[in-house]
Amino acid sequence: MRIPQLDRRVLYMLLAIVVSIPLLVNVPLPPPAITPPTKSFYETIETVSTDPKTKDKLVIISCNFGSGTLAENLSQLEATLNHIVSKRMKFAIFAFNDPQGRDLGGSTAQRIADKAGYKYGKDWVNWGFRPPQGIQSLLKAMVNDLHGALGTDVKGTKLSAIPMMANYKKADDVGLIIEYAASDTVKYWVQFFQRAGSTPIATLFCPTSVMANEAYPMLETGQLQGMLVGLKGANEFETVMKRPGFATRASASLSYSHLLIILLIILGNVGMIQDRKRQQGATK
Amino acid sequence: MNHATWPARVILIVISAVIVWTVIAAQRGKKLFIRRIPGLTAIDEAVGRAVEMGRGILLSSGLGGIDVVTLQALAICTNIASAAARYGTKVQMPIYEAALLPIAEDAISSAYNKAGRSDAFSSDDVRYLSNQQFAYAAGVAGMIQREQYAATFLFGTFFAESLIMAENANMVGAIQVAGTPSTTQIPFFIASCDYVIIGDEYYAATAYLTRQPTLLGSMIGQDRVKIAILVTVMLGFLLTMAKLPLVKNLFEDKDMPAASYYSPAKGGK
Amino acid sequence: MFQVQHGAALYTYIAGAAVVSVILFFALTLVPTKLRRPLIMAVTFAAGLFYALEFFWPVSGPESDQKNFLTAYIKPFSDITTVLQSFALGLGVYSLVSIHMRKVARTQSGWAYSLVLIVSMIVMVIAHIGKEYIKSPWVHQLNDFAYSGLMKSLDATMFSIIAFYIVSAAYRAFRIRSTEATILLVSAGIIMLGQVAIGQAITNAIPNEGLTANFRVENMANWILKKVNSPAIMAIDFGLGVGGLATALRLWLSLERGSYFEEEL
Repeated sequence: MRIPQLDRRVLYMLLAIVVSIPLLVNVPLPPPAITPPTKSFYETIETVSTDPKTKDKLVIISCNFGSGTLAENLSQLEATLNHIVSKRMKFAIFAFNDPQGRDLGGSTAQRIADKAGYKYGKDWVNWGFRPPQGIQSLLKAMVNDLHGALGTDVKGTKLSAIPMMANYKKADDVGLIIEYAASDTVKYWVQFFQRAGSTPIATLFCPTSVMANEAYPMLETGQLQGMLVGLKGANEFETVMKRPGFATRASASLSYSHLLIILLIILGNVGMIQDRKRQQGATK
Repeated sequence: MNHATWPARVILIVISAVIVWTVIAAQRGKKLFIRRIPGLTAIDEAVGRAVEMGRGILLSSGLGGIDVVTLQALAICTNIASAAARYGTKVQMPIYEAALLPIAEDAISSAYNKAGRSDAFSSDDVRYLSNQQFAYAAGVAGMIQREQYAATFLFGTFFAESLIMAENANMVGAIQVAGTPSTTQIPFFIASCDYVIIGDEYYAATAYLTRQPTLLGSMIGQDRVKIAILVTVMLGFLLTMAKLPLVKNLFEDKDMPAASYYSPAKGGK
Repeated sequence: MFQVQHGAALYTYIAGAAVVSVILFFALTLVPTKLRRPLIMAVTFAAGLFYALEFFWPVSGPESDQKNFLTAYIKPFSDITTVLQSFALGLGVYSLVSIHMRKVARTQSGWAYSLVLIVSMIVMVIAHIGKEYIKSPWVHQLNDFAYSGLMKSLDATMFSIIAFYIVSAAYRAFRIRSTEATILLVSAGIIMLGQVAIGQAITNAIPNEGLTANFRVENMANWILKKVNSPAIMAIDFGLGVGGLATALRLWLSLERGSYFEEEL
C-alpha cells in the first residue's frame, strides 16, 4: 500500500484535533519522570526558605513574558508561586522585557496571594515594568539602592513608603531570583546582579522549551541553580508539589502531539522509501 | 562581570591585538584563504532564480536593535541587494527597529547606486513594520504571501517568529538562505530553509562575499584566537584528567550558597 | 548636568537642548566633505572609548559598589540612548503611516487592510495613552477591549501558529536522506519521547539505577541535551563571541570605511 505525501492542511487538522481533545476530555496519562533540573529547582527553593541566612530575604519574581507564552510561563509561575507562598517568603514582581509581564505576573500574584492570606505592601509588592533599554544600568544601580533605582511600585507608591520594603534595600537583602521568560533575559541577572553583592544570590530560570537549550550551559557551570523547562517542567513541578494544575492537564496535549509528530515523520519516511524504490524499479 | 578583572583585561587586550594585527597584515597585501561556505555561495543562485522567475526578493535583518549582529546582517543584505539590483530584481526589506530604518534605507539605496540602478530604488521597499515580535512576523508573512518572493534571506537576531517567516516562504516556494547567531533558532532554520549559515560563518559572511583584505584579515585573526581557545580547552581537559590543575581558576567566582546539585566543584551531576 | 530637572529649569534645559541641536546641525552641514569621515571616525572612537575605558579601568570601593571615575556617567548615557530610540520610533510610525495612507488615497490593491491598520493604530494610541490621563470609563473599556482583548489574544494566536508550522517543517525535513540526517532524526525522536510523560512511560519499567538507567528514554534525552547539545552550543558561542568582538573592533576603530564594509580605506 503506497503511503501518499500528506498535504500540510491535513497535518494541521490532525494536530488541532490531537491538541484539543485532551483539553476538553480527561485523557489518562502516566505521571512524568522528575528530571534533575526540576529537582534542583525544588530543592533550591526548599533550601533558601529554610536556611537562616536567606529565609527572611526577598524573592524577586521576574516576569518577562507575554500572552504568547502563557501556556508555559504562566503555568510555571503559578506552580512556583504557590510553593513560595507556602513557605511564607516575601516576594516582589518585576518586569523589564515585556510590559505584559507586569500585568500577567501581577494578576496571578494577586490571586495566589489573596488565597494565601498575603497582604500587598506587607508580604508582596509589584515593582512594575521598566524599559529594557536601560536595564543594565538599572540592575547595576539596584545592587546598592533598590529604592532609589526603582523609585515607585506599579501603583505609584514610593518603595521607601511600602512597609515591606523597609527591610529590603540592596542586593544583599535578596535571597532568590526566579526569572520567567520567553527569551534569554536571565543573563542580565547573572551578569549584573547575582554576584554583585557580598554573597551570590541563588537564581532559578523558567524558560520556554526552546530557550532552555541556551540555558543548559549555565546550569552546568553553576550560574543557575535550577530550571523548569517549559510546560513539561511546570508539569513536573506540579507533580513534585502534588498540586495538579493547568500544566498537568495540558501535558496530555503535549504528549500526544509529540507522538503524532513522530508518527507523521515515520509515515513520511516510509512514503519516501517507497517512492525511491519505485523510481529505481522504473529506471531498471 | 561589571568591570574587567585582571585576567579579563589581559585576555581581551591580547585577543584584540591579534585581530588588529592580522587586519593590518592583510591590508599590507598578505594573501589569505577562505574556504567555501555553501550558504553564501547559494546567494548568487538564489538571486539568479529570482531573476528567472521574475519575482522579488525579501531581506530581513532580524529583530535586533542597532548592534553588531544587526549591522552585520545589514552588511550582508546590502551585498545581496547590490547583486539583485544589477539584474533589476525588486528587493524589499521590512524593518523591526525604527532607529534602523534610516540606516537601512541609506544602505540599500547605496547598493542600488553602486549597481548603477538608482532609479529602481523606492523608499517604500524599506519599510518599518512593527517593533512587536509577532506583529513583525505577521507583517512579514503577509508580505511573503502577497508578493510571492522567489528568494528570502533571513539574517540577524531571531526569536520564536523565525519559523513563521521561514515556513511562509516555503509555502510560496521561495529559496531560503538564513544565518543567525541565535543558537536556539538554528534548528528551526535548518528544518525549513535551504541553506543555513551557522555560528561564526555569520561573521565571516561579509569577508566571503566581498573578499576585502580588511575583512579577510579580521576573519583569520578570529580563527587564530579560536585555535588558541581550543588549545587551552584541550590543555585544561588533559590536566583535569591527570588531576593537575596548573593554575587556579583565573575567573574563580564565589561559591553559590544553595542547591549545589549542579555545581561540578561540589560533585554535582 | 545629568540630574532630573523640574518646572522652569526643565523648560530651560529643553529650550537650550533645542538651540544647541539646531546650531550643531548647521555647523555639521558646513563641515568640508574631506573632514566628514575623520569627524565620524573620531566621534565613533570617542563613544566606544567611553564604554571600553569604563569597563577596563581599575575600580575601587567596597565589593558591592565598585566604581571608577566613569561609572557615574553610564546611566545618563544609556538614558540618552533611550531618548534617541524614542525619537526614532516617530520616524518608523511616519514611514508606516505614509505608505498606507498613500495606498488608501490611491485605492491600490489591498487598500482596505491599510485602512484597518491606520484605524487600529489611532484607536490603540487613544486607548492606551488615554487611559493614563482620561478618567472616563469608556477609555478604560476601549483599552481593555483593544489591548487585553484583541492584542494579547492575537499575540498568543501568532505564537501558537508556530506549533503547526513545526509539524509541517518536521514532516518535510526529518527524512533519512544521509547518515547525518538519520542521526538527526533518531536523536530528535529520543529527545521528543524523553520530554513527555507518554514517551517516558515506554521505559518506565526499566529500573532507574545502575547501568539499566541508561536505557530509560528521559535519561538518554537528558544525556543528549547535557553532553552533546550543551557543549556544541558552547562551542558555537565561543566562535560567535570572538566574531562579535572582531566586528565590534572593526566598527570602533573604523577599520573599514564607507557604508557597511563596502569600501576600503
